[in-house]
Amino acid sequence: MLQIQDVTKQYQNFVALEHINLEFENGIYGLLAPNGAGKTTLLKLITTLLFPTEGKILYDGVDIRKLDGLYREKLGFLPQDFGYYRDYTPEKYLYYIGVLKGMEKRKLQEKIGQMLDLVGLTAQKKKKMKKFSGGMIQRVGIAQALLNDPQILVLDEPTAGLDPKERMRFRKILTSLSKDKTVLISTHIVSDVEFIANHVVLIKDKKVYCNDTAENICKKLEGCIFETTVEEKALLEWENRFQVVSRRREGNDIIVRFISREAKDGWRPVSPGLEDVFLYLYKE
Amino acid sequence: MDCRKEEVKRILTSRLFWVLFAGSVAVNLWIIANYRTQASMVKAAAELKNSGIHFVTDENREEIILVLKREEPAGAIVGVRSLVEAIPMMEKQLCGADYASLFIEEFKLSGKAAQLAGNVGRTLEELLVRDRENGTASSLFVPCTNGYFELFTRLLPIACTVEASLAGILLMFCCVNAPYDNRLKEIVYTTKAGRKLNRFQTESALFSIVMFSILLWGITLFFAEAVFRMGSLWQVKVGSMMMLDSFYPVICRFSVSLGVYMLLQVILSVAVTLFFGMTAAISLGKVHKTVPAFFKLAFCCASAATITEIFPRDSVLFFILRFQPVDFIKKAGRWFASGAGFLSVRYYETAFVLCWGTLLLWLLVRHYKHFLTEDI
Repeated sequence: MLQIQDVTKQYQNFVALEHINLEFENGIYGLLAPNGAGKTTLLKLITTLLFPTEGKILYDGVDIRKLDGLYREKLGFLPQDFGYYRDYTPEKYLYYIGVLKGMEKRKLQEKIGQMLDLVGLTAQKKKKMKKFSGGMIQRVGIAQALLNDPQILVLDEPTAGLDPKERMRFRKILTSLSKDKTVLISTHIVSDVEFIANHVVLIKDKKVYCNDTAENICKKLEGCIFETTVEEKALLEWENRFQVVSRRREGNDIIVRFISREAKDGWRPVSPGLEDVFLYLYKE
Repeated sequence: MDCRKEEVKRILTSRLFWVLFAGSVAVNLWIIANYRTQASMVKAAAELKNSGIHFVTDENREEIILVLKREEPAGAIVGVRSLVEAIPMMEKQLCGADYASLFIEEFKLSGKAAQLAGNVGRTLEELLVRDRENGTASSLFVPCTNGYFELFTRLLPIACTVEASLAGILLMFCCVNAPYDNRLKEIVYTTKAGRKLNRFQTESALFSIVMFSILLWGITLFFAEAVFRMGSLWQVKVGSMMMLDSFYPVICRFSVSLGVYMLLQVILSVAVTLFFGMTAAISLGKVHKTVPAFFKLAFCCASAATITEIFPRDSVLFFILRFQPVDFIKKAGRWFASGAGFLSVRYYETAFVLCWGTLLLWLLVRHYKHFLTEDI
């Protein structure tokens, strides 16, 4: 189990995270927050790229700084923006990362084959990565994160650059992995979290706002999400009065989805989704 | 599996390594090619050596001139006759004490520093006399024209050392900074190896620098041999004779053959290259960017050179501290224009390694320890 105990991270005069307390067990955790809220800082703290200014991060009760390599051995990380050696093939790249992960040669060769197969790059394994598209690079990134069969898998924007088919496949992989692993996903794509995460962690104002299942979080806005049809010329006024979540055109009219604490005749109540909560929470 | 092995493999298969290597070899071949017209004279000198002539004396002078004159290339700056006739004269007139005086004058030494330089000169003079008497300071090396002698004593050592040092700096930058330059830091530093990778990369780069230096020397000397067919001339005892025209006077303290002399030069050259590699690793420090690190290194080198330049000239410490890697490169540049200006105390190498090596090692360890605790 991974525990974050009263962690604060400060960069000179700027506080990025304040008194964070979280516990992660096996399962998929979705981390949602707008840009600059401290998501990446939290992931970097968990992956030992940053050290807390205050507080501790424990893995099975031991400080991860003390565990050092023993902790990172159980870690798989896919950063938001990552590079590669341009002349490397995915096979060579995975071999290099596998060596750094301390994997045994025979096991590594076997794992590379499995991972390339998993991300659908077996046919391109001898091709230089500099010729790859963004989506293909992202798939290599996913493969390297899974290479050492990590106990803790940290993924920062994992589906960025993937097409819908690849995204679906990735979600399936994660769901199958989450049985005996802790998977942390930080993303802007709310649907990724909504479909696969067992828990959602919302960060607001440098603190954990809530940590619950997507279902429970959505319940907080039960009876507050409506849809109604408005004329196009009235749309601007509508947007000033309510927080509009989405709009779509149907003939000459526009159907708006919005948040309101009060119900009125003609407004059709709809089930709230995680995206509604996200927009409501971060409306400022 | 060893991360170091993978890093070494990565450096040795990189384009940069081989571009630098090919460039350095090309420069050295060009230097050797400039002396190729004297190849037949070298061959003739080797034959003279094989026929039992080891020294230029007043008696055998004409015989040597006769043999060598036949092979003399057109347009020689100093003719065979002038050169061969000058050798016995030089032997009689040039001495370690004179060399020390020149040294004291050039560096404006005074007090204890001047006294120490004088003592060193006298010691070398005694060695020179001893070796001349016992026949281990041979005056018949390759009495050719156009400064062939300096090809082995100055140009090739300087070229190899400067090229390997510059390559060492670049290879160190590119290896240690690779996770930053290639946006790989977040992946590699979260693996089991973690930040220890920084140390592995430094060690791998140092190993590759040594490989580069040894390979460069090997190929350079191989081509020199292929062009000039030195043969038995490698066995000529040069020893203390080198004092008069050498970049590494400490070697002159031993009665060694030209082959061993070159080997010792290779060892010293590799040591200097390693020093520069270590300095490059330190200069990366918190910057983690190649270009600022390069300027930082240049600034540090300039500071080291300036500090040792302004050191009181009457101090023994100055005499020792002046011998630092920067001074070495500075001299390399100056040597093309003028002659040697290097006089070392007996324990120069020990002082050099103790003072500068300990300092660099301490800085390197400090840098690494800091890297283990800093945010990435």
